[in-house]
Amino acid sequence: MKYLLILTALCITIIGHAQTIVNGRVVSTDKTGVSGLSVLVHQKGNANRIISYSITDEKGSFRLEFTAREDSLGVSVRSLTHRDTTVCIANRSQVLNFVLPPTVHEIREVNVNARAITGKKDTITYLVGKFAHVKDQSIGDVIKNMPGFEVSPEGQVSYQGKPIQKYYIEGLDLLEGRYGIANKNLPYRDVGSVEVLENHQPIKMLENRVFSNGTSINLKLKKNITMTGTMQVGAGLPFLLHYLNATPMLFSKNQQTIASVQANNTGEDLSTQNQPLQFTDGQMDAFANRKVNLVGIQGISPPQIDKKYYLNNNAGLMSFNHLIKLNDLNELKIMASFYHDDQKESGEVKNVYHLTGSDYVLNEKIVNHYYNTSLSTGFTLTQNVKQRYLKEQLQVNRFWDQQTGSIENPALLQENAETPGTTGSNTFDMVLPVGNHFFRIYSSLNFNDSPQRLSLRPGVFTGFLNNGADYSETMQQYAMNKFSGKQYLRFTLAHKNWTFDSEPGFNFDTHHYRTVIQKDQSDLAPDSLRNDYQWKNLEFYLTERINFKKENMRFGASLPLRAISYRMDDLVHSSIAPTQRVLFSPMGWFDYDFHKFWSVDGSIIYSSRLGDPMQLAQGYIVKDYHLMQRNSDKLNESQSWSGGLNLEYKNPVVGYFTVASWSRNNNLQSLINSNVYTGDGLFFLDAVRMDNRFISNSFALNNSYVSSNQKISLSLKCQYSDNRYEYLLDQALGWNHNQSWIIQPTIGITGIKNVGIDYNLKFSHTRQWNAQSGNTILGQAHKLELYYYPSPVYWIGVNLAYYNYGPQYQVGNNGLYLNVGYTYKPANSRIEYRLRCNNLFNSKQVVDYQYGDISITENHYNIRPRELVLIVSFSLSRGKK
Amino acid sequence: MKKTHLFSLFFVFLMHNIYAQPPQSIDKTKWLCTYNYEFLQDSSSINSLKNVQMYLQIGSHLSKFTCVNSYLMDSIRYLDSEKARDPNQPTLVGGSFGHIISDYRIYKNYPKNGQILFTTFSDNEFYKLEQQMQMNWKLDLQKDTVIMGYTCHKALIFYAGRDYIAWYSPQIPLSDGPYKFNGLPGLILKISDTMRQHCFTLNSIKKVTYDQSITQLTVSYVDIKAEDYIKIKRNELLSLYRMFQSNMVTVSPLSEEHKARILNGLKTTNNFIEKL
Repeated sequence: MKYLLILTALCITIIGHAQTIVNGRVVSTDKTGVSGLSVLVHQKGNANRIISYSITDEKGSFRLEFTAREDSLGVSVRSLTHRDTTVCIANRSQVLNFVLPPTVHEIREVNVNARAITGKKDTITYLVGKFAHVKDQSIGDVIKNMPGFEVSPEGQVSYQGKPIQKYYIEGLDLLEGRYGIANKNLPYRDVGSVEVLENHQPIKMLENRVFSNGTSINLKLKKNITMTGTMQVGAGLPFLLHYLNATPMLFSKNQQTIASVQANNTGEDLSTQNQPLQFTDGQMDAFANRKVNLVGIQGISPPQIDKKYYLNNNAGLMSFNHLIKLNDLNELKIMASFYHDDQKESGEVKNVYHLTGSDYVLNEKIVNHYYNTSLSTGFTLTQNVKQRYLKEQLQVNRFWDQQTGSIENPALLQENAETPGTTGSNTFDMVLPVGNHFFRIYSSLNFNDSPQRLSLRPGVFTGFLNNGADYSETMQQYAMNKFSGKQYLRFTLAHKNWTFDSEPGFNFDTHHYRTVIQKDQSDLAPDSLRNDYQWKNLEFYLTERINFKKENMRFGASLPLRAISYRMDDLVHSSIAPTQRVLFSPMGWFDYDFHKFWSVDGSIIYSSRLGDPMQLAQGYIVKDYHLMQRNSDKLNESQSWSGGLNLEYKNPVVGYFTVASWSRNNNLQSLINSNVYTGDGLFFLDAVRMDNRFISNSFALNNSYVSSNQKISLSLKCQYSDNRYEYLLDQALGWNHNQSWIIQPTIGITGIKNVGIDYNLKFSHTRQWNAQSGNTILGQAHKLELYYYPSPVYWIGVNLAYYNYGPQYQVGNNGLYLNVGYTYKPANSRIEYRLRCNNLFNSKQVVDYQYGDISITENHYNIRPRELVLIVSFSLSRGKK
Repeated sequence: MKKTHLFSLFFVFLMHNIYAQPPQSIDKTKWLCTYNYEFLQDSSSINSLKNVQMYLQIGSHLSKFTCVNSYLMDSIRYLDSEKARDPNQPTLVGGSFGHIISDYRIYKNYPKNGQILFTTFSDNEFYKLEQQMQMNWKLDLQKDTVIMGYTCHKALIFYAGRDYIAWYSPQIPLSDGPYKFNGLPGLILKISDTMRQHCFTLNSIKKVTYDQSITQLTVSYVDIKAEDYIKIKRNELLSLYRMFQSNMVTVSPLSEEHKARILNGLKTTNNFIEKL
């Protein structure tokens, strides 16, 4: 009696009634009525087309009333306790009884507890496991997959189009801006979730008091993770390739350490793990203190393909970052890193200069080496608690950078640039409470010493520098010495929803620039070929800020008034007498959440600025073998209006994120560079006093969507920008126009029959025109990543890229590049093997186009040859005992 | 966060004696579902969105629907009562009641088949409301979707002042759902009112293989009508408001701003799920 089903059908036909009534009872095999069962009437053969239903009562009785056109219908009984049964009945009122044997049904358990993205007020949490693909290794790989996030090739993380403010690990800011090292090396498997903290105020004391519109992220590690990191060694052919990455990370309640030793010549850029990527107050951190290359050899502008295809490096990085919580109040951070790289680039460059009347064409074959060596050290003491904020930071960086190159045009030219430098900074920042209000003291001191030089062999500008006779070497010496300070006091008064800020401050700068051109190691005497001047600048300012913050509405204004007094003492040329200027740069902004998922923000800024004193060099400086530049004794002054508007829609419930932004910039400046072409392939760039404008508009739309099961992700980026500016060529002023369109759709599919697909298309249309020339460049870049993982122990990845860039109406230059990889990870093993063949087609070059005001450049960049690399990874993850 | 914390401390004082009564087991959980309940605390403010985890324990003949705090508290108290109590051990109290808007226990098919028992606690008193389970759903046969891998169909209902859209799956033949919602030929995986002010979404469904009791408190309840529930809760909010205003509850010294925030929170808690 395995199957016992008795169906009794008593047919009572009621003619003339459209409604059908089916009564009946469901009993178990022991004749007791069964309650709570679903009895469904549906289309015959399609249980999903439900017409009507009933739930059995405690006696097992049910009653179905329905109107249906079909002659015959299906009736199904569904439950978790008795056997599922479907019968076919005629469409007429009748009595239908079921006797069903008890059985146990299982339903598939699910748990999205566990929803991939959850939003709560200003925090959005992304569960890492939900966004990880088989190919992913580091947390940075997974963040890329999360809707709303973007990771630039340099490693900078942006959320909704804006770079993030802080990158916390377990709530601690170990790496400050240099988070690339964690983003790249922290295995995603040890991270539970990524929290997005919107409107995040990093100073705990000012939380809920002073509004911030920055977004920070916090990585929450999985429970009991104390040690993690990356340990990889690899080797490859044909040129004795090596790859080493040992990056252990320790996380405990009171200490965090990330140490790293890395070396490779396989094309992986290590500089991204050693540079600040963070924005604070709208400025790149440490930007003021960055090292500047005053001179340089002529490079080939890098192509728009992934760096791993063309970066011909031999790099090493040692880095140590340690954070220790001394007690509840004090946090100490020490950082030291040493970076060395020898990058080689080679290729051919064809420049076409559109000059009045004719085109000048220049063909060059270039081979360059960039030797970058730097040592960075830092020390930070922080007190960041509810009652107190203090930060003292000391940083010193030393660079030993050198560039060498050879250019064949067809004469051979050797270039050598030495660009060493030392930079240092000390920052002190403190917030004191005064009753209910705050008092902030900030001071930062920076110094920068860069004695640099460029040597060109044989000597160049022979006509200008040596009366037309050949000579063996031109050397441009260029030394810069800067010391600057910025200090302010900020008094914050908070009252209800308003905060008022008063910030008196003073900045000072002293710069010293010395340049001289040497011909065969002897200084050239003419004043027009050298510079020696000092710049002194003292600025007092007062900034008033008003901010209003309500739950869904924030707005504010900032009114900085600056009194600047500067002077320039030029030992060679005319000096600038002490000058006083008053500059006003007001700014207003708002941010309004007008719906649960919608928000709009905007800003408008008027700014008046003084130019860089570096541009006061009145004597010529050799920029490269065919360009000499000099400026005037007038400081460039600019006034600009700029405004922007962003409309955002963020729906973490359905995983849809979009932001539409528009911005406009209208800039008027007092100096313009005049291009003078001498006819023998040499250019002179002179700064001329003449008001000129720069006007730009841009519109961007970013959409991203991830389906609720994370199997499909879609994104679409559209960008339109146009700008026009005035330029001066051979004494004639003209407008240069640029217009560009970029459309970039991306599709990601995972989890369909063990296959993962990522496809990205970037289509660009850029147009430039002015009185001399007009160019339109069309570009398309297709990137396809395919992953096949038939079993959990291995997977195969194919990475195909196709590029086509070229001027319109010409056959574009195609490039097809293929990488293939195989990864094997034995079950329950801590070791993973990765075998990769890069550039399987052994493509030689990638062709790219660029244009300037009066030129178009065609670059043929040599890429890495076909290579085979094997990398072995060891897991360093350890949990608490 | 702080607000709830203070709320709970306040309740702890009142709870102490009442909960000395041990709860009784009325069924065993066979299926445990969790729902994410999102609601606007203040119907006029889109920023008052709150989020509570709700538990639906489905037994062999009845089910119980509570917020996570009550769920945990009931089970702890039940386990505590099962043990022979050591008089030296402190009575188990504590835990938060959760948000006032989701502070109830709903039993379906209890005390009788076809009935809903709705209980709540307010101001030192237990209240109960017995209702019929009957719900008049309108099936939308045109629409279906897939939620968490289950094929779901759409059904509509007007209930207690709001229009709701429900998605249920006949593949899970449990005629149950969040809140009082039931009576569809399959579990409700998602239900939301058309204004999206109250939204329940299934988070997980799990078969319970261990012994987990569905419990009910053995206390005496005051019978109320559906309309009375909102009155009772409003009064509770009002008395809390007055207490905070007059500094009667000073668990810790409150800053003026903090106090204002609590008072504002109490004042703007108005969006009960039933609009009667």
